[in-house]
Formats: sequence, structure tokens, C-alpha cells
Amino acid sequence: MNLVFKALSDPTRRQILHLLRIKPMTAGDLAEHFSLAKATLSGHFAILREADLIEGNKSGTVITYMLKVSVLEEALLAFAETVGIGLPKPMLLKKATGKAK
Amino acid sequence: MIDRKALWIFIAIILAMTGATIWQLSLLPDWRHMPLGGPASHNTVSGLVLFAAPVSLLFLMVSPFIQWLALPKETLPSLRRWSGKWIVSMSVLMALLQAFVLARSLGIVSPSGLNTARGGSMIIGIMLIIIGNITPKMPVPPQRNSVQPDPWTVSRRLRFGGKLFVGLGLVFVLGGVLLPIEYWEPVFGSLMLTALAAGIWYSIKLRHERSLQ
Repeated sequence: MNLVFKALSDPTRRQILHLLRIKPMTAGDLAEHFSLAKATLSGHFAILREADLIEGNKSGTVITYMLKVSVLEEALLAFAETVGIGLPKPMLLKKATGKAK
Repeated sequence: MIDRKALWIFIAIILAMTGATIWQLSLLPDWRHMPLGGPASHNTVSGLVLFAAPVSLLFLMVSPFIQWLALPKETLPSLRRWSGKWIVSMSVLMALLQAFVLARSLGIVSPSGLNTARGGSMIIGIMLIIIGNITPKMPVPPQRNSVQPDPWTVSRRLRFGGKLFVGLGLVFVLGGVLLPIEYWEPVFGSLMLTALAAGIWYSIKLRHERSLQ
């Protein structure tokens, strides 16, 4: 469970999970949504895979990632998203004021 | 194939359950008449009832085994993780059930008929929650031909099914605690029918989406 909390505590990893909720994506497709180095993203994928939240299927040189969260993990993801765990303070403020509006 | 730690937990629990059953049967003057509500109770059943939980646990273990036989090799790591969770949760649940039945027949706990019904509803609910929670983690077989559903469709189906099971489980647990017993049949019955209809609707929706692709 520690691995799951660690994986869900990072906003980038939550964003990856959010994208994978829509459809399975390759590492390249996912990279287009982030302005991060490939190595950094690979690190995030590794943490998500270690926590058993995503599954990677390799066909040739392409890895397609698919969401694999339990019901509890999905609830935790929604909670972390709502509370904004791991977000820097200015973003949390922005989120709070955005909701107030 | 199966998570080794989970397998050892399963073996230890099933041995403990069988041992406890045999010990309890050895205390009875006649194993065909086991008192349900303590040694002085006149309400008796066959002592073989005590084997229900360990036998059910053995049957529940058939599921990972069948999957191991049917699924391709590439899904084995996924099956290993899922079966580990399945084995441990089912073993613990069945052990708790067995402990309750034993404690009742020994007279350690003496619940009324009403409490037993409420306890039963809660156990069913917890079981549904556990099964539903880990359902989306079930291994998804790769698509071998166009007739088979693709892994994404299977995964979505499992996620939806998991949520339905957890929802039903929560209703069983909360209903078991809060609802008067006379409301159980209409409430639980209609909810189960609704869940069944929702499952069929989602299957049709997925099939329709697949045909559009």
C-alpha cells in the first residue's frame, strides 16, 4: 500500500493515470502531454508499474500502458486529486480560489 | 504461478480451520448434533457444517488455478499479483467466518437470530467489497483474434464490474446495520436487479462502441 500512496502523491503521476483512464496510450503519446524529459517520465512509469497501477504491454519497440487500478485505488486517486496532494502551494491556492469562483 | 507468501498464508489458515473443526467435533458427544447456540442449546445441526468454510475456501482457490491454466504466459506476473490478493483476502474472510461459527457453537458468543441475520448481511457485503475491489486487477488476456474483445474493453468491463460489486457490498453492509429486516427483501432484491441491468447495459454499450471502431 505504501507504493500506491507514493505513486499517487505526485501530481504528474496522477495526471498520467487520468490520461490512461480515457484510453490506453503509448509512452510517446503520454510524453506529448508533459514538458518533461523522457528519463523523468520513464521514472514515473516505473513507479506506477511498481505500485501495480498501470500495466505495460510491449509490442516491438513500443510500450502501451493501460490503467489497472482497484476500486479503492481509484477512490484514493480521486481524493488525492481533490485535495491536491503534492501540488506546490501557489497551485493549491489557485485551485482553492478557482473552486470559490 | 502464485505468490508464495500468499500460498503459505492460505495453507496455514486452511490447516488451522480444519484443525479447529476436528477439535470441536471431538468435543461433541455426537458429531451429527452440534449445538448452534452454545453447549446447552437444543438447536442443533450436523457437525459437518463446520467443514463448510474450509471447503468453500478450497473452491474459491479454483479460480486462480483455472486462470493459470487458461491464460497465456505473458499475463502470469499480473495473475501472480492478483491471485496473491485474492488468496489472502478470501482466506482471512473464511477464517473469520469459521471462527464466528465455532465461537457460537462453543457458547463464547450467543447472538440472537436477528444479530445473526445482520452479521450474515455484513459478511456478504464485505465479501462483495473485497471481490469488487480486486476485480479490476484481474489479468487481462491479449487479443488473439478479432472475435475476442480487446484488452481495453475487458479492462473497462472489469473496472465497471468491480465498482458494481463494491457498491452492492456497501449497501449490504450498511443495510445490514441500519435497515429494518422487513425492508431487506425489496431493497436488496431491487438493488441486485438494478446491478444486473447496469451490467447488461454496460456490456451492450461496450459492444456498440467496439462495433463503431
